[in-house]
Amino acid sequence: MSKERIVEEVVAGIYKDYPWVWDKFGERGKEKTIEDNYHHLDHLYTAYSTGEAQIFLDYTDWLVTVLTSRGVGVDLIVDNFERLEKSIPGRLPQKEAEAYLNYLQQARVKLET
Amino acid sequence: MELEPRLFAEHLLAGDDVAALLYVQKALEHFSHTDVYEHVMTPAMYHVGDLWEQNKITVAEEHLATGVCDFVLAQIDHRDPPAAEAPRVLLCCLEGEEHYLGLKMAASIFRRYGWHVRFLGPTLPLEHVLKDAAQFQPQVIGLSGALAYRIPQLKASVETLKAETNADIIISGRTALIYDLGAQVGYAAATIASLEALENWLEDGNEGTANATI
Ligand code: B12
Repeated sequence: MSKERIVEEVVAGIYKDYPWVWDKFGERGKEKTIEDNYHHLDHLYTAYSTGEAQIFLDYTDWLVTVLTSRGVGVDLIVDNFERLEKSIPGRLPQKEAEAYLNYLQQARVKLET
Repeated sequence: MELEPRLFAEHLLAGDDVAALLYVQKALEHFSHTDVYEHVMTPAMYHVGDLWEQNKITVAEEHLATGVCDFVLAQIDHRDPPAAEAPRVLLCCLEGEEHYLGLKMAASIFRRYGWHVRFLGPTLPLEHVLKDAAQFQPQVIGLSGALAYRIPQLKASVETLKAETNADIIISGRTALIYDLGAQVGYAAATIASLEALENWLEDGNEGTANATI
């Protein structure tokens, strides 16, 4: 499935570029990252199917609280969203993909300010 | 007496079922069940959720608190047998949804109003909801959803239930309330915004005509 391909690519990229993430969080951390990325895609789909970008923005706020309180910085969330933006095009119907990119960008703008 | 959800939450997090039950029993001397559900137990559990979100309590403590809350809920859910001809409601969480305490509170209220209640709890696949409804023939089917990404599934399920049963559909839960699920499902279902709203609906919506705008 295209969703699995996206998650696979994103997670592999993170662990390739930041070996220290593995050293810090280990196998369990990688499982969590996979789970989190499915969660990101579920919320992107929910925002898309309802036309409510706010659902994804609220989810991002929630994600920040959950992850920063557990030692994962905002920079890693931003990085993860950027990777999703690169992996999604071509793997989902065009209209859906465009909406996802739009929500991810809105969320990143919020995260970076 | 003033209601103190934070104090109740402390009992939950300490795993102190006796103190939690005593606190609620004392509150029930002055307040209705609905008040206690809505203004003690619900905010206490939301607080537990916030603490979990902020990594201030462990997952184990969250589970402990949930277990104690569930225990207290069962203890105070006094019931009389409904009349044979009383209306019937089927209550369930859709497949994957594990948050059932709110639904259980709704079940308790339906019982207090003399309904036959078929409480099916968490995570029930839609095909089994349909099978059960065909047998039980409820006038009303109530669904509860807590997670935001539940919305597409809730929407699709409401449509199926509407098409394949004669029941009126009501939906509630955290996600239905934060996001205007009513607008998503249109006239296919009524969104019930709180337990108080449920009581109002039960009082004037005789036999479960879910057309009432709430
Ligand atoms: C206990 C709990 C759990 C327990 C649930 C066990 C159980 N027996 O219910 C467990 C440990 C299983 C759990 C798991 C998870 N949870 Co949880 N959980 C909670 C917590 C702390 C309390 C839930 C609760 O009981 N609330 C009290 C009830 C009474 O409130 P309520 O459901 O809203 O009901 C009220 C109304 O909505 C209404 N109502 C509800 N249903 C109905 C039905 C009808 C017919 C009517 C009329 C009215 C009505 O009446 C009620 C009274 O006011 C919440 C915090 C929160 N804010 O709710 C998080 C929370 C819902 N969980 C959350 C998360 C993320 C999860 C997990 C994904 C975590 C994980 N990574 O594993 C999983 C997902 C599980 C799943 N697939 O469903 C998040 C959701 C965030 C989001 N943005 O979507 C929350 C908000 C915590 C947080 N602050 O981060 N959880």
